[in-house]
Parts: sequence; C-alpha cells; structure tokens
Amino acid sequence: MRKVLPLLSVLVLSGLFSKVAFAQETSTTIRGNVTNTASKETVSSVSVVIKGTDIGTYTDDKGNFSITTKQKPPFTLVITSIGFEPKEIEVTNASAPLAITLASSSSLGQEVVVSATRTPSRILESPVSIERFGNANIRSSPAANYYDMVVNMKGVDFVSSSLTFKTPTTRGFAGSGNTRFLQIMDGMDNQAPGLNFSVGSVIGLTELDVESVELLQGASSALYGPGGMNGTIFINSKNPFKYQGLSFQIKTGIMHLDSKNRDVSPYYNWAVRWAKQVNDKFAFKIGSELIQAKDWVADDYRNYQRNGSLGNIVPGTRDTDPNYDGVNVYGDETTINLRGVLNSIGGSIPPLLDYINTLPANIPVSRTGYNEVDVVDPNTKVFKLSGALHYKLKPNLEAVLAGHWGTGNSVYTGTQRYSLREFKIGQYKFELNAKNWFFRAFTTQENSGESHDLTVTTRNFNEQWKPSSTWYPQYAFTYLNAKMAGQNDMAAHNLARAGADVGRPAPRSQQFNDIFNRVRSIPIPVGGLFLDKSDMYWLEGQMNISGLAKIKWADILVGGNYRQFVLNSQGTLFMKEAEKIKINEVGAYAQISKDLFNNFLRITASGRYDKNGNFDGRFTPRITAVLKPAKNHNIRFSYQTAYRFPSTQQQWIDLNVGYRLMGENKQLWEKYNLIENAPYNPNNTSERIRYTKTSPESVTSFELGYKALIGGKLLVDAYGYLGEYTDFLSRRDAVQFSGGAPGANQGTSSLFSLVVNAPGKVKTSGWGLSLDYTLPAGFRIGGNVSSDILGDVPDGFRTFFNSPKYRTNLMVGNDGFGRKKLVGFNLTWRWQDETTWQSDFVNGQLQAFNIVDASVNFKVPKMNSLVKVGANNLLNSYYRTGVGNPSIGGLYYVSFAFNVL
Amino acid sequence: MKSPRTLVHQAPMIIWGFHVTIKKNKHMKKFINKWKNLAFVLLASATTLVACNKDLPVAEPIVTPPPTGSSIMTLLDGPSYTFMKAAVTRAGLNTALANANNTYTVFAPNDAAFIASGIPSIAVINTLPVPTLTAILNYHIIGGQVLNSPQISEKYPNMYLQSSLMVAPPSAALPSGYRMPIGVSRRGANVWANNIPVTAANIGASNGVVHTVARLVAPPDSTLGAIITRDPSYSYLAAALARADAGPPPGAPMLTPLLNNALANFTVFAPTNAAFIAVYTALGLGAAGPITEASVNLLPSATVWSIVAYHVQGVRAFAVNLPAGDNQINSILGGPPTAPPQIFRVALPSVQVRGPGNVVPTPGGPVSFYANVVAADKHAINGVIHRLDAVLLPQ
Repeated sequence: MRKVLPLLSVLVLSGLFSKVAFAQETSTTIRGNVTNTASKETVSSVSVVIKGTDIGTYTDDKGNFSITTKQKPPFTLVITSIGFEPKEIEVTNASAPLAITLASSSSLGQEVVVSATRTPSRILESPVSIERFGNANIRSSPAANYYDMVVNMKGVDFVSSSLTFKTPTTRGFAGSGNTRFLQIMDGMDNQAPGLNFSVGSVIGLTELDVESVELLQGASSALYGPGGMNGTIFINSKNPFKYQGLSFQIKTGIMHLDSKNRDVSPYYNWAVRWAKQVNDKFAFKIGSELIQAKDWVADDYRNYQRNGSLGNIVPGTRDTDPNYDGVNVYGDETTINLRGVLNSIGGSIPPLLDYINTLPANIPVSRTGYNEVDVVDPNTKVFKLSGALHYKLKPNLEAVLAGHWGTGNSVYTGTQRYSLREFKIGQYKFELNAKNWFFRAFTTQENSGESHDLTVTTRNFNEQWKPSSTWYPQYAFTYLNAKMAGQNDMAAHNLARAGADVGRPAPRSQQFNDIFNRVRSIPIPVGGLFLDKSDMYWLEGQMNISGLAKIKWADILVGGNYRQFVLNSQGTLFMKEAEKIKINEVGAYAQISKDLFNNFLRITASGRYDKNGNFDGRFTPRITAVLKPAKNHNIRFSYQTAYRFPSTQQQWIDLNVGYRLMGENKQLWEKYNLIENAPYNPNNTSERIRYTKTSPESVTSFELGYKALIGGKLLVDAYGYLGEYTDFLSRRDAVQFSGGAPGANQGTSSLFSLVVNAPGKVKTSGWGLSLDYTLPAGFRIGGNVSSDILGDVPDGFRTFFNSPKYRTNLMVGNDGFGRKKLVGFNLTWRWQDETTWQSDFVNGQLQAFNIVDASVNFKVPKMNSLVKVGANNLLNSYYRTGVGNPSIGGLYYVSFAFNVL
Repeated sequence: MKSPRTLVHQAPMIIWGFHVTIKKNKHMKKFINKWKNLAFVLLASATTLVACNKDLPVAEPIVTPPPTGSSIMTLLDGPSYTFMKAAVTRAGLNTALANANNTYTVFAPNDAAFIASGIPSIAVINTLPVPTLTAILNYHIIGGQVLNSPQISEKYPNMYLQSSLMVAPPSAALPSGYRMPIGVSRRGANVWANNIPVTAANIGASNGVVHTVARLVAPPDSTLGAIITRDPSYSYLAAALARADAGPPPGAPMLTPLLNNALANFTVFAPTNAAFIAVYTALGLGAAGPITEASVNLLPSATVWSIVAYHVQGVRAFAVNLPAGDNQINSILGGPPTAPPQIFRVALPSVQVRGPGNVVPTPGGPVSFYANVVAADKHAINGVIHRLDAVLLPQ
C-alpha cells in the first residue's frame, strides 16, 4: 500500500486539476485540422507553433488543434511532425478554421535525439554513437513488446532470463543483471536499488506511452553519472499535451506451439492509455498494461561441475553421475563426500570399516534435485500502472508529477535463478522543465514481494521433506549394501538414491506444493524468501547557462545530482548487522560546446565529478568532435571515460549460497574475521588474500564514427572503438581455515566469494556498420553488423564479457503500400555468433543462433485502428541468450490497436 | 525444430483469421489478395534463407566403456576350475558371476585345492546340500570390489572385507546386514585369504578379479566364546573366563559377552589346560587340594580378569598376518603405562609370545621364556584362536 499511495494521489490530483478553471484574457483563437495529403487521414501530435514565439500546441487524436494567443494576425504558423515535410502557413484571419495538409517524407536520419549531448540535436550530427526508434517504429515492429526492439539495433546484446525479464547491453559484458549499463526512463535511473537489475521490462513505460527509445553506446558517465560504463538506454514517454486521447491495444498470441516444454498456451498483452489536455496549462495521462503468459522454460539439464563460484559443464546425467548438478536443476547443489558418512558408519559398525576403507577417499554425492520447470511459477506476468500530471506554470515552464508502479512474476538470473514473484517496484517523480533548465526529484521503491531464490528454496525444500542428516546415511547404507551384493558402483549409487529418495514428493503433487510454498515463504537462510524493501532517492538539476545568460560564443551546460540508497533486506540479502544501510552519492557536471570554422567542426567538452560516501571521488572527462566535411556527412570522434562504484550488492551482500557471497565492505570482512584470519586462495594455499579497499571500476574509450545520409535515401552509420578497463570489479574465491592455516591443524574451512579489483587492465575493441535504404513504393531495407572483442586477459580471469564476436541484423519492410498505403509489413533476421558465457550462475559455451521475426499490419482508417499479425522467432527454433537462461521459442500474435499514435 | 513446411502451413491460417475480421472491407480484401502473394514470397524466402538453429545442447551421459574380456564365469571354464565351476553352478551363483554389470572379487579354489580340502571329486560336490555349498562359495566372493593385490594392505592387522555370505539380512538393527568378513592380506608378493595362500593372483575378468587359492576358505560357524566353552581342551580357560566375569576390575567389561559378540574382531591366545595347571602349580594353588578348573576360584577375580584379558588382542590376526620378528602388541588389557604389551617373536611357522611375568627363576636370576603357539589359526566368527603352551603373565 505504501507504494500505491503516491500513485493514487496522482490520480486524485488529476481529477482536481481538471476542475480548475483558468481565466481567459481577450485573445485570438486559431482552430484547424491537419490531414495527410495522400491518405486523407488526420494526423495527430503535430506541432503547431506561432513562428518566432514559444506559443504553440499539438494536434489531438483527431488532428484538431486550437491556439489561443494575445497576438493578433497576421502571423505564421510552423507545422512540423516527424515523417512529414515541415510546412509554414500564413494566418491572416483567425475566424475560419484552417485545413492543413502535410506531405509525408522520409524520416531517415532526421530524428532528433537528446541523450547524446543532453540537448536536442539531429541524430545525424550526434557526436557519439546513438541508436533510436520511435513510436512509429513500434507500431509496425514485429516485436511482441517494444522493449524487444532494442535487439535489432546494432551492437546490442540482449539477454532474456524470462519472457518478461530482458536486459540489453552494448560493448560487451552482457548478463541478466548488467550493472555496467544504465536504463533511464523519463530521466529516472530504473535500477532496482536492492537487486541491482534494471527493471525496464517490468515497470518501464507501457507500450502505448513510449515516444522514443534512444540507445547510447559506450561510456556515458561524463553526462549521466556512475554506471553507464558500456552504454545507456533512454526510454521517453509521450507528453500528454502532445499525445492526447484514448488509445488501447489488445494483443493475443500463442506460445509453446510444439508443446516441447509446456502445452500450447496463450500470450496476452493488453494496454490502455488516456491522455487529456484539459486546457492550455493542464494535461494528464494515465495508462496501464498487462502482459501474461506461460513463461519460457530454462531447460539446460547439462551437468555442471562447481568449484566454488567457478565451474564448467561436464558430461553426466542423474543416472550416470552420483554428483550430478544440472544447470537448471535445483536442490542438487547440496553435495557431500559420502566417505564422511561411510566413515561414521564404519565407526559405529567396525566390521564394515575395512570394506569402507577400500572405497575411494572422495565419493561426492549430490541430493536429487528438481527441474526448474517443476519449481518455478509457470505464469509470468507484468502489470504496469502509471499516471502523470503536467501543468504549465508558464508557456515554457512545465511541472510534472508522475508515478509508475509495476508488479509481476518473472525470473531473473543472478548468482542463481531468482523467481521474482509479486515483485513490486514504484518510481515517483516531481519535475520542473524549462527551456534552459530542469529540476527533478524522484524515488524508487522496491519490494521483492514473494521473490525467492530457486536454488536456496529447493535446497531447503529437500531439507524439509528429508533432512540431509537422514538422507545421506540412508543413501550410504543402501549404497554399501548394494555394493556388497555385487552391484557395480553406478548401479549401487542408483539403488542408494532410490532408497534415500523414498518419500520424495513428486513434482507438483499436493505434498510438493504444500512444502514448497511453505519454504519459499520463509526468509533466507531457512527458506528461500527475500525480504528486500530497498529504496533510492534522487535529486537532479541542470541549467543551460548560455541559454539563460544569452552567451553566444559557446553552449554551456551545468548540472548536478544527489542520490541515496537505503538498503533494507532484513538480513536476507545484505549484511544483517548493518540494516538499514545508507549509501550516499553526489555528482556535478559541466559541458561546453563550440562550433568552429563556420560550423565545419563542433567540439564538446564535458566533465563530471562524483563522490560516493564509501569511495574516493572520481572525475570523468569527455571530449567529442563532430566534423562536417559536407552536408549530411558527419565524422565523429570521442574520448570518453566512465566508472562505476561497486553495486549495492557488491558492497553489502552477505548471502550463503553454498559458499558465502560477500560484499566488499570492510564491516563484512570484520564480521567474518577475515582481516585477522585472512583467507587463502583455494587453488593455491600458499597465497593469502589480505583485505584491500576496492576502487571504483573505470573505463576509457576512444571512438571514431561516421554517419551520412546519401542521396536522401541511404543512411550509413559506422563506428569503431577501443575501451580499456582499470580496477575491473570481479569476484574471486577464498577459503578461510578456523585453524588459521592450511594443513593438519586447519580446522573447519569456510568458502567465500570476495569482490576484488582485478589486477591489470582489460581491453576491448569493436566496430559496427549499418545501412538503411529507402526504396520506391515505401519499401525499405536495412542491415547492420557489429563486433565486440575482448583483449587478452590472464588465464583463469573471468570478465563476464559474454558478447559474440559478430552479430548481424537484416530488415526489410514497408510502412504502407497499396493504393491507400494501408498494408505494411516487417521482416527481420538476426544472427549472433557463438560465444563463451561466464556468469556467477554458470559458465559454458553459448551456441550461435538466428531468428526470424515477421509482421504484417493493416490500417483500418474508418476505425482509426491498426491490426497486426506478428511472429517472434517465426520458425519456432529454440535458442538461448545465455547459458542457464530459458529456451525461447516462437510467439505468434494478433493485435488490435485503437487510436495508437 | 518445426519444419519450414509446418510454418508455411501456419501462415495462411493467420492471414485467414485476419480475413474474417475485416471481410466487410472490399478494398482491403483486394489489397490483401494483391499483396499477400508478395508477403508469402518474402516469408518463404526468409524461411529458406536461414537454416534452423542447431539443437540446443543436452546433457550427455557419462559412458563407461563396456567391460572387456571374459566374465568370471567364463574364466571358470578353464581346465583347472572344473570343481569350482560345478560347485558354482550347483549353488546357482553362475548367473551372478556371469553378469557383466556386477563386480566381484572371487577367491577361486582350483581343482587341486578342492581335493586338498577333502573334496575328491565333482560327484562329491553334487552330493553336498545346496545351502551349505552356497554358503561356502559365497564366503569366497567379495561383492562390489575389484581387489587386485596392490590394493591389498600389507599392514597388520589385515583387511576384513564383507564376503557374500550373508549371516543376518539387513534390518533396522543391522542396516546393511551382516556379511561374514573374510580376511585379505598381503606380505610382499604373497597374498592370503584368511590363512589360505593365493597361488595365482589378479586374474582379470570383465566383471571383477579372480585369485586362485590353495584350499577352500572355510567360513567360521562359532564365536570365540562358544569354541572356548565347548572345547574340553580349553576347560581351564573357560573356568578362568567365568571367574574373571564373576568380578571384573572396576569399569572393566565382562569378557564372555565380548567373546560372543559376532561383530567383534579378536585374536585369542588360548593356553592349554596343561598350561593353566602348570601356572596354578607354580602359584601354589595345589596346597589346597588337587588342581582342577575350580582352582582358579582361589585367585582374586580381578587378577584372573587381567590375566585372561592379556590373552586377547582387539584385532583378528592369522599367524601369517603377525609381523615378523620381535614385536610388542597391546592386548585388550590396554597398553603402557597401565598394562604391558604382549611380546612377540614371529618366525613363521613358529610364533612365540610372552608377557613380562613369563620368567623362570634361575641361579643367575630370572630368565624370561616364550609361550609357543602350538596350533594356529582356529577361525571363529569373531576372531582367531592360537593355542598356546603357556599362560601369559602381564607381571
């Protein structure tokens, strides 16, 4: 309820505001309607501005507009909209409604992006690599969800840990919870403060409320603060002043067509948005979206040989390896050396001792696990609710009060697979936007709900139905008996397992559900439940000094922000003794841009300083240059730096997952006496691991790019980059002996996974090339290819780079052909090469895959609707985006969208 | 992976579904008819353009190479194992020994061993009761082990491994059952099953290993306690046991239950009746009348307990397993400083033992003497008896 209240207040306020009457002065009102020259359809969200002023409006969902102004005619109206030729109209008489027609034009290379420099600029002239898609692209894309469209941009890796949990990354280091890639939704960093993943696919904007998505590749800390080491994605919503009316979309599909992992099941994605401009000053919007389906199944049952937090895939199945530990099989992580149990049997039954002593010294045996499909909630869903109030204090000063709240069931891959169940996250924002400055305050409120760790839960489930202290002796006795009866070793193991598993609840039986539901509701460490209610608070402001002070010689921008994390997991995730943990960060930045040599060269220099309470401050500069050798040809060069503080988990996590996953904070080292009794390298016990304060990780990158629009039809974009990471944040295993040193008197040993800065530097490089070509009759084709390469790293060093050396996308489409241009289609083909996959969850080889997505859409102008038939993974050819992540098959849908602008 | 044919089949259904929803729109219908062919061409070309993804990797079983070579049963087809083969077949153990999925170590007496053990012909084997024969043969088989001689310990005491002779089936009290253990030992190249020498070791089979033995290895049928109380040649020892258990030293266990415990392992140096009489005489017990078994009751029970316990080792050792040369080995009486160890001199086939009290007075002072093992290796369920010609005295 705590998180729902602010949202409710937004909705209530919107009701109040709409009742407020605003005094009207004597003035002129111009009314009009905008239509498409060719199709005669009305065009909405068209900007209509009185030339030379800030006075303007947008057409509503029926193409109508009205401007009230104290200015008397004659004056000129400037009419602009993406995808249309701009037009200027002389208004001499305000009494007659204007009928304006707009001719459509290619928008190739004409889009305006903001994120590259924090100021609007044409995408063609962006000083750094940037990709963009807008609401028009979403309308025609085959992707079942707009978030999935990011994958077709060049240089993007996309990791799907669930149908509803997807993580984009650029420049390497792909993973489900990527802490090197920022996601910013309407100016709000949407990283979950406790669980550290970006929640864009859970509480991001609803599909109908997305105006544009911009993807900034490479280091971006200089403008956006710590975190954006490898890139930043910006998802921008539709302003209710510009995009008005009621719209809804009903998407229904089917999945699991071949019943391989589940029965054929429906996919639902319903969205609604209502925006209204009450008057010149006040507008509001509300929206909601529900996605529901039976999730893809993580079905990698290969055998995983663990060595602390490391490991590799080895041959073996449950029937052929007594210590089998399937990748997506849980509970079988519990393993012991059966010799310990056998020895104690020999101790109490001495005649057996000699027989036991002839057995191998190490007989690892794991408990019988359960497949993920048996323990995870099959229903994945996302429910989003959002609302915003926009009030224009002045024509150029807009106040925004916005709330986004989302809940859902999903699965996330971190150190383990986490079932995010009834997970709730809210973001609430107050913002003041002026032409030359803004101020923003927001908070992110996380509630892990019934989320639980599947491995921990299933291991504890096994302890509930039969404790290991009972299971293993039963196993050992049956094993001995079977051996003595002449069974070969594996047969004896299998008989022993069958014997010890007597009474094991069958998956999905009543008994299974009763125990499992109980265990997942008990907090870690007894059960598997997380109690994470971490929050984040953020204040931010920015000023365009040259705009305010009318400085002509250069554009100067300054800004700053403050954020506070309040970590609260009641000991289920973070260090128990330090609840509630507060982490403060403060930062400031400045940017100066100057055009030189008659606009031939534009140079931008920016710098940013950040300080985290637990770490030393960092300065990150950025210098970019854009060269314009000819019109529509731009060469860009940038030197960028970025860094990140260890994530909240890397600082404070304190979780036993078979070994202890530990944050870098000194208090944790002290808690486990790791400073006095320093641990050892488990693979080389002559090396002792002493406490050293971790440093923030930083990256320096150089990039050279070229973007050109040739003949108005061919858009070319190419880039190459070099990146160098220093103080790379990684983990290493350590073993502590209660006796202080390895050897005869070592005592009990405890395993830790520690956060460390890797020695030396990690180098990456890569390049990308895309071509988009406009053909006659509205056809367009395009393609891109990109590559990311990791430089040499020391043996045994894990970077979690995870990106394929090559990946490519090919697209062909048409936004409207036929006599009335009512039919459109899109076809995309995506391929990525195989790659080595490293994660805390599993390491292995990720197979190459390719996917075909296709859609056909039909406009129904009379109903102001669009019908789309689409297929994601048309061939239903299963693939995985990460080892241990689900196998993704085909999703086929039909959607009906009303008034989708 | 769906075949492309299936997919092309699905596509028209989707189009058809759409067709129904907008069938009122004539223009639209025309466009669809006009353009759907193109859409099909594009979809079809996409389908043929790309190959399907490789099948996702699945778990591979660990493949243990199929066993090579002959089974134990096939080895017994050899000309020197005709008795053994006949016996195994009669006992019904042939199926198990031929099963390639099983694992056994078999001590196989060859024909000569059968004859030396008093079974002169296969015909005699065929007259033996099957349960008896099965029990005897099972005692020659260790399940679940491929025990080649390098794995057999050279150390004293030797290894005792469960044979396939099941005495008590698995139960709550004995969860893995009680299988009669068989002693397996090695000294250098020499290997024994109990005290029976292996004449040819390490004959590899697909399902285990065979060691040829020189005699049948007879399973024991009585406990140490039962043998001592029933054998009249140990009547003095039995009387001493009874006296000892009448009043053991404080905290010390009764000895008879120990020697009757089937799960234990003991070596008992059992003095003959003559040995006891000699000691009783030397102690002057004859003054009270003729020396009989009951003479022991003249001695304090705790003293008797100590003397009897001094004859018992807590491990099972056949004579061949005793370490060669002079040794000191603790009895169950304990070790220094509370109790002295037994002193051994082993020069097979001679085994001698003495305690610190085994001295004879001579004019030149007391001279120690050894008791001789006069009959070694009487095997019991829970140990071995070596008959001794003198009583060992701890002090």
